[in-house]
Amino acid sequence: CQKIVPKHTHLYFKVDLNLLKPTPQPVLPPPPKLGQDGFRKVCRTEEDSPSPFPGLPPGVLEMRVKEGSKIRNLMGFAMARMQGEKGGSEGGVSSAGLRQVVFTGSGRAVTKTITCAEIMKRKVGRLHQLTKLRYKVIKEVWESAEGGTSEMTLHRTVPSISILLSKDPLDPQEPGYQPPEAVSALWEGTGAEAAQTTCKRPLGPFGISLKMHRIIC
Amino acid sequence: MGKKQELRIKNWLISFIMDPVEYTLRKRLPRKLPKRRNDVYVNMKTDFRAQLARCQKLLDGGGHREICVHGLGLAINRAINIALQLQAGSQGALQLAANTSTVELVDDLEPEDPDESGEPMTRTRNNSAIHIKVFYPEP
Repeated sequence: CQKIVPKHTHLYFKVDLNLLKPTPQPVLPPPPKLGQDGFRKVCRTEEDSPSPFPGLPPGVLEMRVKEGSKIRNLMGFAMARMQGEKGGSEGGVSSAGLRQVVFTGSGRAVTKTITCAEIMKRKVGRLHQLTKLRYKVIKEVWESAEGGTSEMTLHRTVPSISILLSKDPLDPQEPGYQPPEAVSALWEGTGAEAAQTTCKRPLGPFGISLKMHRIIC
Repeated sequence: MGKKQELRIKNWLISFIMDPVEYTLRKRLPRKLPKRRNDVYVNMKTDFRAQLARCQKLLDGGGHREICVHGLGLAINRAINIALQLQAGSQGALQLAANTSTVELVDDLEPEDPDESGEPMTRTRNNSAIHIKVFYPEP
């Protein structure tokens, strides 16, 4: 009798664990996405566009940030390459760390791309930054669901961002350049100008001052 | 983002409080930023076309050679879209210069039941922001 009791508890545990586990769902083929007038998307390709940073040496690390990319994975990889692995196997380049890295992302991944660049700037420090914005063209091919003979090609434009972070100085005249540790300078500069424009307004709580401003005008 | 943030904070609270007290999360407004006449702060509540039209008006009728479009968090995408739309509509006359920054945000955690032992807390977190200068280049 004593032998059976542990068996029971064992069984009980097994059942409990199974309940905790996600039950395996039968894998169904994804239903064909029917869009406009029974058309189905066949493929989606990103058109090649020239690099936003001409004059960069080939072989610069490019981090392509996607919507589902995990920041810790991206940063873990990029930081290791920038700081240089200890006892790197690739020779001089990897042991000293890379000088430059590019983060690119489009659509919903733009925010994540900026976050990655900001984290890297904070962690590495003294990085020169160049930010470029542009539209990226995505080609979509749709085909008719019934016949499959008629095809339709769509060109979609998605905003994309490319951020170059460099340990070496970059051209300060280039639009989108940001010197290292520029945050305070950016706000100090604009803050001083803002103070000049707002000092004409009467002081007081914001709402009241606005109303008075309107009456004066 | 909001739901995710709340869940993260809940987990964070549970991690060190044995008896989790119910808290309400209150997000403070972002820190006051400079507001010149040519600064546009993009949000997700106003209609996109209205915000685009406002920028276009500043450049065309307002007599500004440059405007500054700011976006925080989710509004970054919209700010970029507005800037690119302005550039596309100008037949290449306008140029863009984007800067990025980190903005510190403060959340207040207030206990739902004031009789319980929960203390009001604050928590800071970071969010990314973009500042795009849209300008006519000097001839």
